Amino acid sequence: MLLKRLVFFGGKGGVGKSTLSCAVALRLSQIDKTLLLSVDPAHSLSGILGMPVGNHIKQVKESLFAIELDAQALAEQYAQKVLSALGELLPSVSSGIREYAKYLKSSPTAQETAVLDRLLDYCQEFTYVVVDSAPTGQMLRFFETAHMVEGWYAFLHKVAKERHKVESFMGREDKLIGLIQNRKERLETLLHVLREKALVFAVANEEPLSLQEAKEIRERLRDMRVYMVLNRWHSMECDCIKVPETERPYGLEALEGFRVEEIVEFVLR
Amino acid sequence: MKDILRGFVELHFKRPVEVSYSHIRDLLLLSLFLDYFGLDNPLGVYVLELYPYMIHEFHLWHRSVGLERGGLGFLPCC
Repeated sequence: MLLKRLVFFGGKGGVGKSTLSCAVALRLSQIDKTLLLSVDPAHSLSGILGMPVGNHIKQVKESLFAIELDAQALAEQYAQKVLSALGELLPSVSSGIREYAKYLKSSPTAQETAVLDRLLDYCQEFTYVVVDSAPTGQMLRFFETAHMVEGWYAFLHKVAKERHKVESFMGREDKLIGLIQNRKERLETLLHVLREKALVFAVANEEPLSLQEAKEIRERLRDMRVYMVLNRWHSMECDCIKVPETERPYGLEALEGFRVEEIVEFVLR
Repeated sequence: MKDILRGFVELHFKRPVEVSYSHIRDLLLLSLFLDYFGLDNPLGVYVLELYPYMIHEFHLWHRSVGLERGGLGFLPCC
């Protein structure tokens, strides 16, 4: 796996997490191949970078790439891909499958699964992945889903293993255990990446509500490395990374002037 | 003669073992098809790809619990 660091920016809406993600990704891209990924349903990368980004990987600079993921479209693709195997087996059900995929795409869990699944692919291709997360609640759910699924798959694997014993005793072939094993291994890789290589920057401003949300992120994600960042810093004293206010940090050139050295240091550490 | 012997072993030794382990099959199918019983299955999307391999077993199963038809719109097994 190419990945060295997976960086998440979270926090209350409007604290500047998208701008920070862009600035940090820009710095990291001077070191190695970097992907800037937005999973916020209200994307703002295009506006900040000063160029259209969209749902496909776009090359922004030599080694900086960006994408604004459409979770709904991803979930639909995921369901289609998975269910098309069923369609090949039984051609008569393909219209039912299309119907089901349409219905699945609005399920939040399906969307998170699809995003997590895609995230793992990107971790194979890029050295640094910077994620501009959705607002706090959704971001926490994202991590919780990953953990919940792990427990559930472990249970399923145990049951499937028992069944496999019975099946082989009866002299029958059993494909299920292999499939569950594959899926389980993929999930384990993802969780390993989240535990070993992920950093979370909880962004806040000098304002009580956003500070409280940033603290909540730190408390809820106990088993991950979470750092508090005070964006648009003026004078407040606190034990966190401080990023001074920059006037209109939009467009690539302006972003380079953004003072994010301290954050980059933590990422490279 | 060999066939008869094999059939005998199958019927008198292997089948009872399989039957005594049927609760495992039931548990597995229940976990995969929770929504079929009107229970919430928020993680059902993760097992979508297993359905093609389970469809035959699902069919036998819903017959064995006394349901004539599967009744899953997207998974018509009978």
